[in-house]
Amino acid sequence: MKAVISKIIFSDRHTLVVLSAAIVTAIAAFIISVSSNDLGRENENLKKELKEIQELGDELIHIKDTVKSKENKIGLTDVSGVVSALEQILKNLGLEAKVIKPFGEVRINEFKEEDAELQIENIDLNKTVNLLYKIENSPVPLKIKSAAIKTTFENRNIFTLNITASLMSKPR
Amino acid sequence: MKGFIDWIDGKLSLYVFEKKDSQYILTDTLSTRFEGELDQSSLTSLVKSGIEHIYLSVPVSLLSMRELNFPFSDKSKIKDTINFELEGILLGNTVDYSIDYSITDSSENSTRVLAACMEKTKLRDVVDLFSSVGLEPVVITSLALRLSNGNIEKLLESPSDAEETRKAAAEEEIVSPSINLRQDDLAYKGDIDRIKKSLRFTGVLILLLMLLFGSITAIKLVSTKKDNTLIKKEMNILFHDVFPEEKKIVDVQRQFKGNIKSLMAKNKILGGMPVLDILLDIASLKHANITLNELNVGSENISVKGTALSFENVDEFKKALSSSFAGVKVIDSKSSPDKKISFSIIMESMTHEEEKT
Repeated sequence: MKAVISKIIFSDRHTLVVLSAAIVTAIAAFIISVSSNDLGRENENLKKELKEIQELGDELIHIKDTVKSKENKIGLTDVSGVVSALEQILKNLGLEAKVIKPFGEVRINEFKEEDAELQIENIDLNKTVNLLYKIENSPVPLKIKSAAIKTTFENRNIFTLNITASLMSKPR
Repeated sequence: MKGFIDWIDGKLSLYVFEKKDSQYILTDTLSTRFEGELDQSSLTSLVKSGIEHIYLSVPVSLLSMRELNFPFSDKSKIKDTINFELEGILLGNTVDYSIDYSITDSSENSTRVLAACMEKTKLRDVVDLFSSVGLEPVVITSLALRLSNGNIEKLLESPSDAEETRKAAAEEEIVSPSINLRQDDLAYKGDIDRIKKSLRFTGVLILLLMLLFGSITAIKLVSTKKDNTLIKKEMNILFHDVFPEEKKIVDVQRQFKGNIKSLMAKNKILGGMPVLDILLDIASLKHANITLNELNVGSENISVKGTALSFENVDEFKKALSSSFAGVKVIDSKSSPDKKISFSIIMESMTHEEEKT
């Protein structure tokens, strides 16, 4: 029976044409189906990413603005070093540091960091906040890398403040 | 069911056989008599439903019988040469005859055969006549040939065998026909035609199904492509909003990822630790039974140390911190001599956690 059927398929032109067309269509349909499924999966991933980016959108713009502002600061200002920048801020606030110790320069990607440790004793919360604000919003590109605030044993409203600050610049 | 039509001069008999196990059992017999030439009206009385294949035995009067001797016993050789052997013996040309043979005697070096020849025009008429009433014969043979056992004299006598003998011979013919005159261009093609038809029908059905499936998937593909274009367009707009300075967009998805990555890296380098924000977040919790003594803000984590009135207060403070910070853990909490609980909590800023993911 199988032999008869294969003989018919290969000898009868009409049957051969119809079956060949069916096979070609099946292959084409299979290929289309596979690409459609692949594209569908890609769309799902894209939708997910789009949703994530949309959610991040405002935050991204904010981060971008922050980065841009810092980069602009690097381009605009010309300061001699992190120690003088910190001293300038302290002077403006009427504060005196116990220690200002420069750590040297480190290169990170396209930027250069000049670190310094600042220690102030017997500072109240208000002055601490003012100092932190002045450093974070300084016209020179300063950033706080770490900070430690401890109350003193004698008076809980008086603190010892340790800050590691960096002055950012671009290597010339 | 199989039917065997025994055609002898002036009489037609239809023997109906049913296959049970490997044997054919006679289940019905129909007979009809006719005068003169056989015609459709005589055949209609033999029409019976449910018969798959019809075998026809033609009368000897329609056949030209010739006895031949071959100096070999190879059946394929006999088949190949019989037409040449019959050339000149038959009236007219052998190509106008449908020829088959039955071996009557055989030895190692010789074979005697009885050739049964029927003019193709006559054979075609017979086939057409029987086909016209739905009794197209699959095999055309002759019972007389089987019953004569190759004795040509007996063959030429008028059929005198009892009906029972003929029925038994018919059964044998169904199992193994002694000759079959439906050959070559007159061969039975009913089954093949039926298979052809069903194959074509199946093929057309498959083709239609595939076309339908193909069309549906093609529509789906087009719609998915449209969706893809829309999503990419939306991404392009968003990309322009966030990075308006980038004019050339080749692969928005990749460019987005790349830009976000470099933006985050720059932000990490330039941003520093938002100590004031952290202070504000902690201060805004306003937990009455908690007194903080120390705050350490580092690039990796943030730690707070303080005292509480109870362990429960420490736990509540930890839970409160979890709303603003990630990975909040109490690393130390112990009772001090003044009955207060001193504790240490370690945590990470939310943005640091996001950067890690």
